[in-house]
Amino acid sequence: MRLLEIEMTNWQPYKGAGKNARRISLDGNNGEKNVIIYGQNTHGKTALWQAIRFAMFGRVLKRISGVNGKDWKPLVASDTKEEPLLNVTAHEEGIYDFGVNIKFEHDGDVYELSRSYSKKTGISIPRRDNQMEETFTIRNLDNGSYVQEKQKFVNDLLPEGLARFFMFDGERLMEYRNLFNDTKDIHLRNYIEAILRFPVLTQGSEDFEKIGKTLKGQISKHASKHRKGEAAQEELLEVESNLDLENDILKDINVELDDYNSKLGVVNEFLKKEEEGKKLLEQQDKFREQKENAIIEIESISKKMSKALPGAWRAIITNKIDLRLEKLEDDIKRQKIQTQRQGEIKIELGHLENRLKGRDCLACGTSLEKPSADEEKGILETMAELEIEHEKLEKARLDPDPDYLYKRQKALINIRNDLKLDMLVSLEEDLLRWKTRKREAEQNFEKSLKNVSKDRASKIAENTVRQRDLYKQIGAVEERRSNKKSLIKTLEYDRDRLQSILGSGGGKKPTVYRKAEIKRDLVQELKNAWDAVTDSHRESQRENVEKEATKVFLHLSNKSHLYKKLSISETFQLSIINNKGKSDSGSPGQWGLVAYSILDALTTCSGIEFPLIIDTPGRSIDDHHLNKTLEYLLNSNKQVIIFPEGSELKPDFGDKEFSHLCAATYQLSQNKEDANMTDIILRKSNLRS
Amino acid sequence: MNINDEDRSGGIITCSAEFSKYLDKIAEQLFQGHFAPKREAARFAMAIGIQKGLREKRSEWKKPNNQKNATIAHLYGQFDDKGRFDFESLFDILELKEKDDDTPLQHLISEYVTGGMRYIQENELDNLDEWTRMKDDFPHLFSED
Repeated sequence: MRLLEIEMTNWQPYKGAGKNARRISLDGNNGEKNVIIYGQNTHGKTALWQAIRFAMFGRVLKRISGVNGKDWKPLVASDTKEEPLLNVTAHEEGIYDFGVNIKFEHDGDVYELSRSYSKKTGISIPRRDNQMEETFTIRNLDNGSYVQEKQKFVNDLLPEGLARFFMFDGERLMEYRNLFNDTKDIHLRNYIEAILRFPVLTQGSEDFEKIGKTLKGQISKHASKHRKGEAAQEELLEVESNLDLENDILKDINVELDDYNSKLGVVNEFLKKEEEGKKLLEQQDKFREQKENAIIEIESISKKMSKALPGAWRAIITNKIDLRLEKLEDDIKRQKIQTQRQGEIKIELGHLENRLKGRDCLACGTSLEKPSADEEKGILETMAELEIEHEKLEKARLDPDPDYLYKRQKALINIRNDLKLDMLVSLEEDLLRWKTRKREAEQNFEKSLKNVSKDRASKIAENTVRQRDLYKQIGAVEERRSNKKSLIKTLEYDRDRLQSILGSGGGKKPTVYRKAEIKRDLVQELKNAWDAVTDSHRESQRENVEKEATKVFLHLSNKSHLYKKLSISETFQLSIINNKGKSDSGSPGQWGLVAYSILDALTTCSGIEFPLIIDTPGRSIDDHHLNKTLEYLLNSNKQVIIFPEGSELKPDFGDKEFSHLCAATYQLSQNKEDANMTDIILRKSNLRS
Repeated sequence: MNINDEDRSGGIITCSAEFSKYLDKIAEQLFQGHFAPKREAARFAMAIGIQKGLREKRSEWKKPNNQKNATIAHLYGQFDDKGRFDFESLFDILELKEKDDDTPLQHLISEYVTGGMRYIQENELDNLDEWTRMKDDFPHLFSED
C-alpha cells in the first residue's frame, strides 16, 4: 500500500471542510512517495500522524497511553476537557462533521478511504461519542466500485495490532527497545509473533485442532451406532482380515505368475529363434511317437492274437477227434440196433413159445391154437435160429464195451472245439502293417537325428522341456489363482452379506462416518504439516529478522566496527554482540538505532507493504545517527512519512539533504488568527501536477 | 528233479530241455494274457504234436549241458484241469501209442509236447507274422474262403 493523499476535515487542529479541508499529497512526479512534515511541538504533527490511523481503524490512542495503551481519544469535546478528534473551534461553531479521507494505491488500483463522523439525528449538540454517527466507505477509483467488507479490507492491508510497528513515535522508541529486552513481557512475543504472522500459523494449528475435536466427536457418535451388532461385526472383521490375507496371497501368486511368464518369455524367445531346429526336433518326436504308437499297436494286436490262442489246441485236434467221434457214434449206433434186434428176437421167441404151448400171446394179445407137429417142428427150428442170432448179437453188442465207448465219446466231445482262427489272419495283416510303420518310423527317426546336432538338439530339447514345465507350472499357478479368486469372491460375498446384515448402523461404515474419519485423518496430517511449517517458519523468520536488523544496525551505527551483529534469541531477547562474540550493553543512542533496525527488520520481514510513519524520529538518537537513519529509510523501498520536530531536523537542512528523496516536504505552522488551528505549508514539491 | 522223481510223482508234465527256454518264449509271446501261459503253450504244442503225429520219445530227447527238462505241470491234474479234459481217453481213442507201448500217460503227453515244440520252432510260430502258415498246415482252423 502506498499513500497518495491525506485529507482532513475539521480534524483536531486542522479546521476546514470541502475545499478548505487540509491536504497532504504524497504522489511524486517521478514516483517519489516519501514526505517530511516539519513541525514544532503542539503544531499538529501527532494529529496528522493520528489522522492516518483514524482513517484506517476509526480510533486514536491517547499519546500518554504508550505502545500498549488502550485509551482512546474522544470523538467530540466533552466535560472532561479531553482533547477530542473533532476540531474544537468547529464544535463551538456548531459544525459537528469531521473525518479523514486517504487515497492510496494497492495492487495497482487507487482507492479512496473515507471515514467521518457526524452528529446523530435528533442530537442538537453532541457531547458524547455515542451521539455521533460514523460513515465509512472505501471506493475503488479505477472502477468506481465500493468495497463491501471495508474493515476487513483495511485489516488485510494492516492489522490494527501491527500498526504500532509501522506508525511509531520516536519519543517511545526506547519502549520498543525495552520490549525486546524484557523476555517476561508476554506482549513482546505477541507483537513480534503477530508482525511475523506467527499467530496466523498458531491459530491455524489451533483451528486444525478444533476441527479435529469436532470431527472426533462426530466419529464417536458414528462409532457408537456402529458398534451395534457386535457379533456380526466380529465376524465381519475376521472375514475382512481373511480377505486381506487372501488378497496378499493373491498378490504373491500374481508375482509368481509374472515370474513364470517372464521365464517362459525367455524360453519362447529361444525357441522362436530355433524354429527350424524345433521343427526338426518335432519331426523327431513325431517319428518317435509313431514308433511308440506302432509298438503299442503291435503289442495290442499281439495281445489280441494271444487271447485267441488259449483253447486253440482243442481246435487243432478237433478234426482228428471228429473222425474218431464218427466211428464211435457208428459203433454206438450199431450196438443200439443190435440191442434193439435182440429185443425183437426175444419177443419173437416168446411168441413162438406160447404158440407151442397153445397159450394166448400176451405180447400181441392173440389166442393161439396148439400147432400141429409139423408146425411145431418148424417153430422149433425158427426158435433155434433166433437164439443163435441173439447170441451173436449179444457178443457184437458188447464189443467194444458200451461204457468204454460212452466215456470216450464224452471225453472227445468235451475236448473238441470248433474255434476258427480267421481273426488271426486279419490281425496278422494288421500286425504286419504296424510292423512296417514301425520300421519306417525308426528309419525316419534315424535320418532326422542326423539333421540336428546333438548339442543344438539338447538345448532345444532342454528349452522345450522347460517350456512344457513352465506351461504346466503356469497352469498350476493359474489354477491356484483361480481358486484364490474364487475364495476371495466367497469372502467378499460374506463380507457384503455381513455388511448388509449390519446395515448402516453398525456394519459397513456409513459414508458420513467414513468421510468424518477421512477428514479427521486429513486434518491431523494437515496439523502435523502445519506445525512443522510453523516451527520451521518461526526459526526461519527469527533468522531473517536477525540478519536484516544486523545489516541495518551495522549500516547505521558509527561504532559498527566494534560490533559483530545483533542477536535475537528464540524468545526474541535482543542483544548486541561485539567483535569478541560477547553481549554488549551499548549506549542509549546505539539502542535507539537497534530499535530502528529491529522495527525496520520486522516490517520488512512481515511482508506487509505499508508506509513507515514516524513521529519525532530523532527523539532517542543523536543528530548524526538520525541523519544516517533518515537517509537509510528514505532510500529504502518503503514509503516513509516522517514528522520531525524543529530541533531534530531543521527544515532547511532537511530539504537540502532529503527533499530529492521525497514527493514533498511540508511545514506545519500555527494559524495566525486561531492558535488552535494548524496550517499546512508546502515547502519542496516534486508532486505530480 | 530227475526222471525217477517224475515217475514217483505220477504226473509231472515236461518237455525236452532242448526247448526249456523256447517254451518260456512261446508262453510269453503267444499266451501272455493267460493265467497259466506255460501250460497253455504246452497244450498248444501237444495239440500240434498230436495233429502232426510228432511224438518225440523221451529217450530221444537231447539234453544240452546244464539244462533241465522244462517242468510244465507238477501234477497231471494241473495239466488236465483236474479231470476237465480226459487226456487218457483222448490218447487212447486217437490211438496215439502202440499196443505194446506202456509209456505212462504223462510221459506220452510230454513226448507229444516236445514233438509239437519242434514243429513250432521250425515253423517259427512264435512269430505272429508267420501265422498264415497255419492256414496251410491246419486249414480246418480257418473258414473256407
